[in-house]
Amino acid sequence: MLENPFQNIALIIPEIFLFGIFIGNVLVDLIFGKINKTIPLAFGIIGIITAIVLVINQYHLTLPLQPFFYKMLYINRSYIFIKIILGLVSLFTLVWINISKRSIKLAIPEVQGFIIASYLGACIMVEASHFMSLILGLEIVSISSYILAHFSFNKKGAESSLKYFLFGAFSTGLMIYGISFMYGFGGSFYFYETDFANKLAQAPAFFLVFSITLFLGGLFFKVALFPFHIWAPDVYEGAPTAIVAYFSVLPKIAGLAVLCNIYEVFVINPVLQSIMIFVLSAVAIASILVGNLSALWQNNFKRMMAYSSIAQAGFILAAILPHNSYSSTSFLFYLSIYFFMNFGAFFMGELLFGKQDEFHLKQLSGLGRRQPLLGIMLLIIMVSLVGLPPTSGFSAKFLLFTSLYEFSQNTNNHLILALFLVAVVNTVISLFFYLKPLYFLFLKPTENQTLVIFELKGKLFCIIIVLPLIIGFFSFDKFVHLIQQLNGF
Amino acid sequence: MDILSLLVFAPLLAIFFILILPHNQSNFYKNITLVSTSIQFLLSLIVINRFDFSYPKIQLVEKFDWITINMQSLGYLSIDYYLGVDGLNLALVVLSTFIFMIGVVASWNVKENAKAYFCLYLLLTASVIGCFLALDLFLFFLFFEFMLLPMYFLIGMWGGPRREYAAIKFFLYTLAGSIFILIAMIGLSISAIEPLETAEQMNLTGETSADLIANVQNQLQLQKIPKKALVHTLDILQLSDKSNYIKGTWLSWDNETVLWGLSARAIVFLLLLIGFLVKVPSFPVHTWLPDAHVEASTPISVILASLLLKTGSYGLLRVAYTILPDQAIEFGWLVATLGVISIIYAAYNALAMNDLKKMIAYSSISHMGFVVLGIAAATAESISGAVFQMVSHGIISAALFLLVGVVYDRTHNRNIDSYRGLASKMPIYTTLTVITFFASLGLPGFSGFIGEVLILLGAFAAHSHNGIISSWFAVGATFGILLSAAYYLWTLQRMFFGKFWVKNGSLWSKKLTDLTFQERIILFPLVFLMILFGLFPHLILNIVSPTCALLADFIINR
Repeated sequence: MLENPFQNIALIIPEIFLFGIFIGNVLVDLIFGKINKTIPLAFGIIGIITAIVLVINQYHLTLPLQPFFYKMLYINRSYIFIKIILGLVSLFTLVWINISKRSIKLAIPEVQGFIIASYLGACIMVEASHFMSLILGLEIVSISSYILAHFSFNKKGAESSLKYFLFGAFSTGLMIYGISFMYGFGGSFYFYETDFANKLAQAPAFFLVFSITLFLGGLFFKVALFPFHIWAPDVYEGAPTAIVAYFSVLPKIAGLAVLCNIYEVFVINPVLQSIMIFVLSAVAIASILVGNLSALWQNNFKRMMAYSSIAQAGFILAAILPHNSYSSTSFLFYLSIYFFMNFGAFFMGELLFGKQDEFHLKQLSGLGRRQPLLGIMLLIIMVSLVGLPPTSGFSAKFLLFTSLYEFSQNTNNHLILALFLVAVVNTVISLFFYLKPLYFLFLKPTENQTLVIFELKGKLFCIIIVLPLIIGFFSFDKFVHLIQQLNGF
Repeated sequence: MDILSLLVFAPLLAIFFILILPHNQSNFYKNITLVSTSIQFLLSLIVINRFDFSYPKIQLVEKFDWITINMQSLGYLSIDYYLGVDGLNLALVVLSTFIFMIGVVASWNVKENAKAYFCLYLLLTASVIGCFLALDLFLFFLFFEFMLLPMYFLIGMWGGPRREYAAIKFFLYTLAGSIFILIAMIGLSISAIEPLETAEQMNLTGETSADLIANVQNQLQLQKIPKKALVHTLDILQLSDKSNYIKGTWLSWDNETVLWGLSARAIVFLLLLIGFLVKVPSFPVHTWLPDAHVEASTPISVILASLLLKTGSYGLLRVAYTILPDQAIEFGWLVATLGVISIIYAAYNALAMNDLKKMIAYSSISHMGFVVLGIAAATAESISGAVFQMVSHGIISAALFLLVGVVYDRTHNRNIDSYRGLASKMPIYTTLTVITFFASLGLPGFSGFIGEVLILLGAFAAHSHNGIISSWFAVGATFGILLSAAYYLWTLQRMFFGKFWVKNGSLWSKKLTDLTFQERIILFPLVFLMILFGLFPHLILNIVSPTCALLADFIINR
């Protein structure tokens, strides 16, 4: 029985539109690029803003968890929320490459096109309810990322892009291998069906664990979680900063959202639930520990932030585990705050390091005294990343920790309790390296006298990023309330 | 905005003024800071004036809903903006406003980055006083944690040669402590309810609010309240009421879940204990203090010793002992042991120190050990003694660090063996030092004596009174007084008496002049207060003891 596919068009308008501006971007560049360089750039930004508006518009027409396109895609309110965040990430990146002097060579329609494409892919990933559509979205994101990593046009960029590609291709291979097993046991590609999880659970234990691990491995790679995190520092170091900020947020959010969806599906079956809780909490513990402990030894700002974002992804993964509406709130809250923190950190990094190619922390010496405003903003971002009051990082961690504690008390699961304790104790470890840039900024005397000039628009952009990190503490119930309203919890 | 909020947030206004002032007016930064801290001092005197001495519970309450999180299936979490004073914190609040005022005068000569210095100083003022006044655990934690940041920069930017190391060590140690408190706080946040707000959620009404509370608590014990209607709280006073705990949570009083061989309540008590002992600091988590003191500049040392350490011991009383009195009895021996070890071990360390500031830092640890012992004994006298000792040590240690600052400013050398016979060269300085040393070692007639005697009396009596600790602890602590006499008198003899001699001969002897006017106006009031409170201890005890007696009662009867 065939449904009419066009009746679902309304649900996929933003994606179609994104595809349109991806193509339009190329055409506009061909037609107007020679005449005026700003026209294609403006086209991209306006396009993304329109896409976000279209996504917001979807709130009007959706019911809870509605399937469409022959159940290839699902949509509900929290997916829309995540799509909005993803849209903001793309928009901020586009704005960044247009206002920052250092990123000026990124302000070309090609970069813009790939950013739009990967936003499209991320949207499909989040909404996927069929392994094929999941792979489709994942690959759109991945291929765009491989290319974007190369845009620093130097040896390091080429190296990081190639590394990223090789690791990525390999892990996608593993993931598809895992999916083929799961298809064999579950009898379907539609992972949202209850039947699928229950049938899968009857598979022999070894193959069950084997296939699930392989499948999750691909997602862990996208998110840069523990066993598949090794690519992150090298790629982050080589790729242009704006792109790194983009990498550290967009694929991560999309991947974590997919993990959350998969977890939600598998949790209905007790066998799968115990496997998932074990795997995910073990990976979260390992990522938090490995990320933070490795970051301790870094002297390069970008590498340090790479390890930090591995640890942060571990925290967000932990938020998935309790699986109730409160933990979903904490998951989405952490996700949104993470976007501002990480994006802000990289943007500040680009401003403060100025023209230098190496992001060695030493180069920050004494800058905070000459640029107090920027210093204070980096301070707020770093304090928020540690998770100290009075910043949103603390609110996010507070929500996460209460939900984890309650979950371990409820289920008497000691692994979750261990995860809770590791997560809390890691705040202290992370303090040590998050303070490092501040230590150089404020405590060290000035070494290089080159005065970095900051433009007003850069400062404004910083303030836009930093403001939510303060407001999110002092009225964080409002933030929480907003998230609950938008997601219909 | 009522008086207590004004007391906390007045410095923020001053920060605003400092920030808008142009750079060429940098001389005004200290004036603004001095005015702001003086206003705070006056405000704190007004608070004393409004305080009802005979009423032992919280007064001048300011309570608003601040954050209410809808935790969905778990109910609500209500966090209040809740300030109030009682006997435990009033004296400490007045002490802090006073010491902060002294600290501004002591930092009169700060030239480098004065804008940042005074902004951070004012931030520190707000957070220390806020920490003393907060009665909601979340708010308390906010202030408790926030004071680390300004302190980190104050040590790290204006300190001595190894300031970076000292600052990061200070931050890491105290943050590790705060993290333990955070774990406890998260556990508590979903274990207890606020009865009145829960009643509101359930649409219950009662004749009086007392009826209503009893009704809700009764239903809670029968587990009749739906989970969604529970309003969790972090209000310290509500957390101290055992009938507010939700049945089946790890932290309810009758829960028998054992984690790693201990009950969950015991674990939470130990977490809070470690967290606060780091700040006190007590053996074995004290090692950050000597480093921080040695590297910090004089005014920052003063603030650190006389106020920041008190937030630790105050937190122990206000949070750990109030919320978990049952565990306080259970682990009284542990707290007392750590206190006594701190007293004696730190005193021996002080004996061995050649750096005068390090010696005083160790003596600080030793004297804070008395506070810990007094808290552990948990009798009415010993707790009053502990609070009295906090105030008295606040005054005395401020004076001690200022006195060290006097020689250090002149010669940039603090070694005891570099000086001899200073008495002949600096008579007023020597007199004040002798008085302060004697006050610190607990000579009768000075405030140090009263605090230590009350603590020791209480600790001796604890055995027969509530049986928490045996009298041997008090015997051990008495030995500590002897040691403190030893290191102070020995230092006096080496540095001040005998024939005048200094290491760098004529160069230094020119620099070693007697106290300047500015040093006198900050040292004389402190010395005056030591004697005043030593002769008329009831000035403080009238404020402190009703509340302390109530707390001691509460701990025994839990």
